[in-house]
Amino acid sequence: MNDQEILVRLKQGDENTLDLLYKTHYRMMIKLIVKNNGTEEEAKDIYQESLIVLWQKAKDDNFVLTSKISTYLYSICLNLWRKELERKKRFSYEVKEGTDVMEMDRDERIKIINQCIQRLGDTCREVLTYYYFDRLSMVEIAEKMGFANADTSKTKKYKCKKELDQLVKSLYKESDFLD
Amino acid sequence: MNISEETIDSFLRGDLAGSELEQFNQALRSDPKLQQEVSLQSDIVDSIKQYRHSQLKNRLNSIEVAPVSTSSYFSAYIKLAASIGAVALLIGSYAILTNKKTEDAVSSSITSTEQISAAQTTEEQTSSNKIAVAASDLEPVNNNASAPVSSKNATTVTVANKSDVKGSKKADLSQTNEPATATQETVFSEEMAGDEESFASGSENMTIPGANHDTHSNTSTSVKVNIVKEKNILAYRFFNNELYLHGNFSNSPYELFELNNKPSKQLFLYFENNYYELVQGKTKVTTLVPITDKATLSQLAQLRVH
Repeated sequence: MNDQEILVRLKQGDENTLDLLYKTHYRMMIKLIVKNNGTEEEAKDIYQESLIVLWQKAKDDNFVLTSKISTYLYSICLNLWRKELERKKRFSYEVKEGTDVMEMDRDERIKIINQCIQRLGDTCREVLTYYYFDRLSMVEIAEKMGFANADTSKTKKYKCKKELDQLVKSLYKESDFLD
Repeated sequence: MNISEETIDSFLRGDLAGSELEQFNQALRSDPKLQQEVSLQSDIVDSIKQYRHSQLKNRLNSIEVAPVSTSSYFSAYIKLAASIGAVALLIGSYAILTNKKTEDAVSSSITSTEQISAAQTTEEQTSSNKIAVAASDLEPVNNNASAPVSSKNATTVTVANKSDVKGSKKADLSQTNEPATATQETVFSEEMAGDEESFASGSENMTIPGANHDTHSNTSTSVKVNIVKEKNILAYRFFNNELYLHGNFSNSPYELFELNNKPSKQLFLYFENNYYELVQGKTKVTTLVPITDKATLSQLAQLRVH
């Protein structure tokens, strides 16, 4: 499989191809981070993050890769690692300020939302994640989920989102943040 | 602007643009209730995205990879040194054998290599018979499989007959001594000498037969196959975990291969001199497209001969 074919498959949401990419370039990317003062664990984390960046980029119609995939991943890893090194430096000098009330509220809200996402049925969760994160089209979602057609996907997505919204709002009211 | 749920959704997804986007932003600025709703929806969408992000990451994290630490380089060198040592031993013992003994001994060792080559051809025949028994409608394919095998054996026999053994490659030598695994080893070293980038970095995990314990292939797959007889079409789909092959499969044989690349499986079809990949998620009838990538093709060809 050449680079172009790989990108096409990633765009279609083929997770097996993502797995294959991961294994193919693992050594090279891990070595990069490890040689730059990272542990293998840190390197693994950065490399996985870079692949997810590529996964999302592949969905973008405007994305045109002019170099090899390995080169591109290499540069993403470098950037992510640089950011991480800076972040580590900052932590050692700054004391983390107490989070303000607004932030606490938001953290609580995110917690509630995550609980609700867990509570959703598998199908609903999959449809929503494919729609918002993987940015698959309704047709692609139908194929992947085994729905009859794109309209089924659209209806399913609408219902599932509604279900999630209602779950969140009901739990949210219970926790009584609003005055 | 009438702000519907759909509009908020489009906004959050980044699908609004131009005047629509401007209108939305205006409405947002002037309506606190809308701001609240959009803020909540934004958190919900972010959480959905975060969930998926973690899911993908966990998936990658659970893939088995060989650790990249200095100790693994060390063990690789040890293995290399051991194999070089073994080869040196074989070369040495063969040289000693031909040097110590007289002309008679040399001719007897030549006849013994002839015997080995005879054993090789019978070996190859019995193995090709096994292939014929295992897959009932594979006869025309069988002849193709044994032809390249015998030509490979032919070249090694001529090399082994020369009394100067030192110049020969490691692969050829190992063939005269281990007929059963002969062809596999030659191909393995050829592949290693090939594109370093595509193979070396992932060699522990790629599907090179005989070298990797994680993967295996068999012609009997765990997927139920249904043939849908159709003219002028070559396609497939998966439905209810069964494979449907659309086309005319009654005149020539076909083969299915399953590769166990943890954590997922890959299915391939060989038919009329072409290899096709069967992607599991395809519930709609999908046209079969021949694989053109040379690396994949050589791997698959190896599996077929195996």
